[in-house]
Amino acid sequence: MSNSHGKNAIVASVHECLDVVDVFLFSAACELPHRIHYDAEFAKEEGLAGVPIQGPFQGALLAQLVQSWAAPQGAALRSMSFRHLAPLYVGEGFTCSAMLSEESQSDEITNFVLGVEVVGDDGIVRTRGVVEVVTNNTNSTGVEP
Amino acid sequence: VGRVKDSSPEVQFRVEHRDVTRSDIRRFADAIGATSRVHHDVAAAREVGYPDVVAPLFFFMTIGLSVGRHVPRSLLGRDGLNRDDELAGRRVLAGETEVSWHGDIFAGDRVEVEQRLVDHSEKTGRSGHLNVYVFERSYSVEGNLRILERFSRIARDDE
Repeated sequence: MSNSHGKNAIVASVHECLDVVDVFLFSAACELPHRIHYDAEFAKEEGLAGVPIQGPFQGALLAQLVQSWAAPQGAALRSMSFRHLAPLYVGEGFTCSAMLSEESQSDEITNFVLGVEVVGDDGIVRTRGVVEVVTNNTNSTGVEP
Repeated sequence: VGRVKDSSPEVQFRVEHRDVTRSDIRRFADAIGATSRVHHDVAAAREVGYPDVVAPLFFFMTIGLSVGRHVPRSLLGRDGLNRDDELAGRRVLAGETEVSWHGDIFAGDRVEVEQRLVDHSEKTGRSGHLNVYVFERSYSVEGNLRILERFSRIARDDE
C-alpha cells in the first residue's frame, strides 16, 4: 500500500488478485448462495467469462482502503457511492485506488472527497465511485482496517 | 422481470431483524481482509471505547444481501437464488449504490433492516426496454439509524 498527499493524487492503493476461495468466503459471510460465484462452468453458462467477484466485495475493499488512509488522521467515512462498469473475475489482478479530489474546512471539521476505482491489470475500470470523508466524525468506524 | 412494481407487499417492503454476533463480524472481517483487532478481539475493541467488537464498514451487506433469502433449500433454484426472486438472473444489472454511515454496528446489536422499493422508471435504449428499480435499505439499532443504503437494479424486459 502506498500513501502520499496532494490534490488529485493517489493517496492510497493496493494490488489484489482474488481466487475462488476468497469469493466463496465472501458469499458465505453474506449468506449469498448465487451459483455464479462458486461454479465456473455455471458462470460460463450464464454468459460470464469466469467466476465474477461480487460487487459489494469490491465496494468493501474500496471502503477499507479509504479507511486505511482516513483513520490515522482522525477521519472517517461519511458516505460512498459507486457503480460497477464491467465484471471482474477471479484470477485477474486489479488495483484499488483512492484519489483525493477535494479538501475543505469549516469550523473544526475537514471534509475530503476522494475518487475511488477498481482497475484491472488490463487497464479496464471495473468499478468507480466517490467517497466523502470527514474529521471529527465519531459516528463511524475510525479504526484502521 | 418488469413485474416488481406490481409485486407482493413483501417485495415492495420488507422488515427483518438480525442479531449480530462476534462470529458474524469476525467471519466478514476475515473474508475482506480487515485485520484490525477491534473486529476480532473484544478486549482490543473495549480498549478504544467500543462496547464490543465493531463491524467493518461494509458489514451491513451481510444483512442486506440476505434480506428475503432465508428460505428452505427447496425454494432455491439451480442458480442458487430464490425461485420467486423477480429480480434474479442474468438479465438484471447492478446500477449505482449509495451508502451513508450514521453509526457503527457492534456484536450484540439487534439490527432492524427495512427494505423498500422507492422508485421505478422505464427507459428504452440501445439494449431495448429497460426497467430501473431503486431500493432503499435502512439499518437501525433500537430505533437509531446506523446505515442507509440506496441501490438500483436495471432489468431488461423478457423477450
